[in-house]
Amino acid sequence: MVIATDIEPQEPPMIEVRDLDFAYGAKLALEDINLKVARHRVTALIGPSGCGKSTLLRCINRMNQRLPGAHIRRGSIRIEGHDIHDPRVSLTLLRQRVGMVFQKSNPFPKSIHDNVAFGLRIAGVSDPVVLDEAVERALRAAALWDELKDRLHQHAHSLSGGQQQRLCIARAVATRPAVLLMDEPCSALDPIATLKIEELLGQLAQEHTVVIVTHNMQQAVRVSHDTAFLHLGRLVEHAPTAQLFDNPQQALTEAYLRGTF
Amino acid sequence: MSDSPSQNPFIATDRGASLRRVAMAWSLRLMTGFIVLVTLAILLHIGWKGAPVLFKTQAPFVNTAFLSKLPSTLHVISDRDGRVIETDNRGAEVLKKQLGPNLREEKTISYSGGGILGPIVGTALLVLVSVSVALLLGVASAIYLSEYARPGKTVELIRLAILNLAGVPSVVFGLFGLGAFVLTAPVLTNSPLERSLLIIPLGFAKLSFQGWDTCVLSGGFTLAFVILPVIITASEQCLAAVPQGFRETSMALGATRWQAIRSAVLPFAMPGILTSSILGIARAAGETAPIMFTAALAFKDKLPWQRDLPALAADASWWAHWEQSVQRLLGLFTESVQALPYHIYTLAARIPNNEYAQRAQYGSVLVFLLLVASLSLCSMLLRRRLRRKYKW
Amino acid sequence: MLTRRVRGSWRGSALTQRLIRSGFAGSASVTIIVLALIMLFLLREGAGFLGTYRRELETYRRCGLEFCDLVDRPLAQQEDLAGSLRRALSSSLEPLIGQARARRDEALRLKREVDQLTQTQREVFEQAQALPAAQAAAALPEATKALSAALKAASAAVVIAPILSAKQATDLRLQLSTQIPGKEQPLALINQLQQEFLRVDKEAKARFEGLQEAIETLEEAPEDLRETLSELKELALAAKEQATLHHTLEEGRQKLLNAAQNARDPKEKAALLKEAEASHSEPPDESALQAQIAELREPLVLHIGAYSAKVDQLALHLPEAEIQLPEAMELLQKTAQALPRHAAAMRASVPELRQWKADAPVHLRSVLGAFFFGTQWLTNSSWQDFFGFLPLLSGSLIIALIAIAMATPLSVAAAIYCNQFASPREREWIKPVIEFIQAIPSVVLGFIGISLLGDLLKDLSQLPMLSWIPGFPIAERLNMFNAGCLLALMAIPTMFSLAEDALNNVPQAYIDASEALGATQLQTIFRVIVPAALSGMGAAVLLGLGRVIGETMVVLLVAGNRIAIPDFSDSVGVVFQPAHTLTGIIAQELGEVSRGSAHWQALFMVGIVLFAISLAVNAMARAMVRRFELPKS
Repeated sequence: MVIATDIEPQEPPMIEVRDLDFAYGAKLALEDINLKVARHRVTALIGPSGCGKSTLLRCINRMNQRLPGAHIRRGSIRIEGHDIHDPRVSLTLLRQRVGMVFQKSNPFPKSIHDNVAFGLRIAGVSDPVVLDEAVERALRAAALWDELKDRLHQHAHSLSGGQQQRLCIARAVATRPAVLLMDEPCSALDPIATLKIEELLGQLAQEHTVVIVTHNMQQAVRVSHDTAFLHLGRLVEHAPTAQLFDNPQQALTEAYLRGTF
Repeated sequence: MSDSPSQNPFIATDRGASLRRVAMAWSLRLMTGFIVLVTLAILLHIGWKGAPVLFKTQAPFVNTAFLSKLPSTLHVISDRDGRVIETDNRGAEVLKKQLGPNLREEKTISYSGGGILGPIVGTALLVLVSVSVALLLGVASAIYLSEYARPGKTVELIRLAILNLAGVPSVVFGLFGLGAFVLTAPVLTNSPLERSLLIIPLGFAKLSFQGWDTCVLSGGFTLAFVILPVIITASEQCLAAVPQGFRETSMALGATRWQAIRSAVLPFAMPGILTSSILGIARAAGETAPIMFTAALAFKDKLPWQRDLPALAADASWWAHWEQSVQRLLGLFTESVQALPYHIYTLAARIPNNEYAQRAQYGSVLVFLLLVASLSLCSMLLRRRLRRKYKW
Repeated sequence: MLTRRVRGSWRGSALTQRLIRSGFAGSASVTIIVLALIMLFLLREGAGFLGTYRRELETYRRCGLEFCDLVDRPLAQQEDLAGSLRRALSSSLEPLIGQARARRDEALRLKREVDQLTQTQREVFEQAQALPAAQAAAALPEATKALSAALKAASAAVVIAPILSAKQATDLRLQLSTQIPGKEQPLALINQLQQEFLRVDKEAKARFEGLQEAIETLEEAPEDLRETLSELKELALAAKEQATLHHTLEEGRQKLLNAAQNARDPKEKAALLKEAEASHSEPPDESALQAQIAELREPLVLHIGAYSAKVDQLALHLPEAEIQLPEAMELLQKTAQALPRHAAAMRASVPELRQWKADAPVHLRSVLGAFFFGTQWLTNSSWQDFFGFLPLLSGSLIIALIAIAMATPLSVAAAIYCNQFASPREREWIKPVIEFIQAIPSVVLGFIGISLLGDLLKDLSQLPMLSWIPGFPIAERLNMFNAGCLLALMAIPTMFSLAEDALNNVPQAYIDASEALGATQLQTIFRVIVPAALSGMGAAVLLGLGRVIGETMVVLLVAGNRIAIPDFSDSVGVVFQPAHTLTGIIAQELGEVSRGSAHWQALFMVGIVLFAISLAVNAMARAMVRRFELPKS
């Protein structure tokens, strides 16, 4: 299958997926994926459920490797030009550069402050001044600081659903990752909370490269610069969002977008 | 393809971290292993010391006398020729006469002679009574909780009661059994005792709340309440494991709730319930404190059905014979008995320790442990098999 | 017609359904009923305790026993003090006389051993001697020869400890083997060793004259006081006996009167009333006793004054110069500090004596205090029974703490290992073994404590390399530590499975989040999983604690059953002392008391407290789980 990649980034790509075949045991989940994601852009991964978009996302920070039998059969993934599947790669370092936000908000049963500081603490930062600064910066980045600055030591579970998810975003950006992976971050939220997070994404892209999996096409249109469409484990089309939605190059993409699948 | 460590910022060899992981895993593994080792060491020790008592090198390889005789006082008689003879009360008398002045020394060790048939029979009877009572009540409670009850105050109260009942110390159950069954439970009698709490005349006899005295029935009922929480919880799990669809299908065909339970739920839950009740048996057989004041005796030279009754005249009517036989049979429930755990307690705490007492101790402990352990093992294995077999 | 039948049967079946339903509901409520009944029966048998004990305490006061105890209690310390002075003396003497004594004892031991080895031949010889002269002449020479031969063989065979010099050893062997049958005399060497020992002993004692004198002074000091006191005690006991007799008679009379009231037959009624009249007894007159007490009060006070002055004097003049050995010095200094305290305690009893009144009422509050905070559990005493709860509670608590302190780290470690590190195959092994511990009956574990662990611990404690552990070497095989170890083993399966459940219940989402932030496995475990499971583990520990406090057979068999508040002066070494427990006392004593006596009721009171503890522990565990409940994932 020919892949139309109309985006030729000027600078070296932030994430580069080359000829990737990924399998769970004998079952091939991703096949022959080639994808380049440019810096400071929001890229949406869309596709029918089971198409492998979450799998692809989880390959980027190697969250899949814990599953028994999950392995890369061919190809590689590079971040800023560096292979992340090198056996010598430290998962700690990788995941500090590649943060992740999950479908369901999952703050730890600790205080707000401890949640945000968790990533730094496990990286060995223990200076309270540094931690406080980082917590404030991360909470500002997640647009939570003004709401929560007086209750940093409250239990995280006392927050509302949308706040919890933004707290998880703050927790993920506290270590200043270059890449932020988001796995359907709004699917469990009400429309207002969703709106807040969507607004946030534009700001986050100024400092991070964001890859977001979504099943909501409107959301992809609203928040992303680029969109990649996956089907049955293959990357069908990858293009700037406006172009992909207005003028899909592939018949499959068009069928999916029109809902005549 | 791969770049050098200096270029790739993700490459780091944190030897410390992996070392820490290995060290932690090993220290936890050692602590776990310590528990396992201690357990195995205890079992092995009992097996090692008890095996010579229970087993023999010749056929039938099991010391049948130990399993088929009642406990008795052991007499160890040594004569001047250096012979040492172990015998029982009667044997000792004969032997002493025989030896005459040649007798050098006689040692008597209480409870350590003979075998342990009495305690085995007593424990079996106690288990029989307690498990029947507990199964009846326990399965019924479980059916109510899982089939009939709607979530609410009552169910919560019952669950709380089950939890608390499971936590009550066994010696408190003993006190309860003493107060309730030994001293207060109702009996039919013509001549009520002075301590009777309440006497209800029924015409043909009086119902007197004077208690059952220490007997199998008192002990069995006490034990039944000790194991009741275990049985309820296990039965409820088994009932809950039957898929909802079975009930709905049955009810959709017009069956009433009870018919649905009887035909579509109980048959599938029963194997599990019975298996779990084996665990109840093991528990009931192992408890000592609840039967101390309600059923157990330190020593008894008769089996429960060998009750002493006045000898009948030669021309006694068949009715009198029949009455005596019934009384003897009832002795199964109305006599106090020896029980294995209490026998072990007696042997371990009430008599001076020497090699003969030790032999009786280790023999009884091994038999007891084999009994209880094989029951629990059965229950564990059967449950595993059932789980595999019934996968809905 | 048809509809009616249908409706009728429908109604009938609805009724049946309802009946079946309520039948099941009834049996489900059995658990609630049983809990209520437990409470009821415990209360029925135990609630009378307060009244009975109050009456006993009133008698105790009225008959003057309490008055005697005011002096007797502090005076009891005098024996301890004299004892520690004696210990100081004997430990000072030990290095001087130990060798000589050991030599003598070794010789005596050897003699005994040879005697034992030749016992059969000796018996034969003695029999031959006892025979009439004619037969003896035939049998005796042979028996003599046999005995001599046996003596020779035995004295060659015995092993002589190196404390005896080579020459002494050969002498001894020779003397042992050449004993003449029938004319045995004390061996010369033993005599010699005994003499030597006496000489050394005398010399050594001469060096500690001051100390010996101090001991004598302390022992003789309270003689006058004791004499007066024992006079009083006799009076008090006699009065108490009378009071008890009166109470028994009075109770019997009351019973007869009640029976008479219920009797329907007038003849029977009259007979009962007559019998009741016959058992009438006058309440004992205690005014004579009161007068005696009042009379002896002042002499007693004088004796106390004299005695405490002597004690104070002695404290100033303890012969510290004589002592060199550090441990003896320590004993002496401790005694020197304790003596003035003892004197002060004796003096403090004087105002109490003066204020004491025989007819002061015993408040219910003080009865409760005497039970819950009483430091003495004393039964079947010829003086006065006390039912103080503290010795039992302290034993139970210390044992439970030992058990929990050991079981918690082990079971939590095993749970973490099984849940996070172990391979599936390992897990398949470990879990059944740990769960199997639950199947071992407690009486078997108690037996292990008696037959195996006790000796093991004692032997271990005698190793010189372990002597730094406080409390080592241990004196008693059966002690709280032994019981604690076994109870820890008993608590492990419960705590292990509950802790493992708690770890299992930690939502996967937390683990994902932690790993996505770059945490290593250890960091995830100890910063996310374990903290999240902490409340469940806390509940596991609490339930384990409940199980341990309520356990009976192990503590009954292994804890050593000494009814006293443990002596905390040895810090952690306290765990190696024997103790009694709440559960153990019930199991041990209930079988031997008569129903309705204060002792019986006291045991049921202990049962009530145990029941309350178990309910409280359960409630706390539930509250803990609920308070920190994780969100449903």
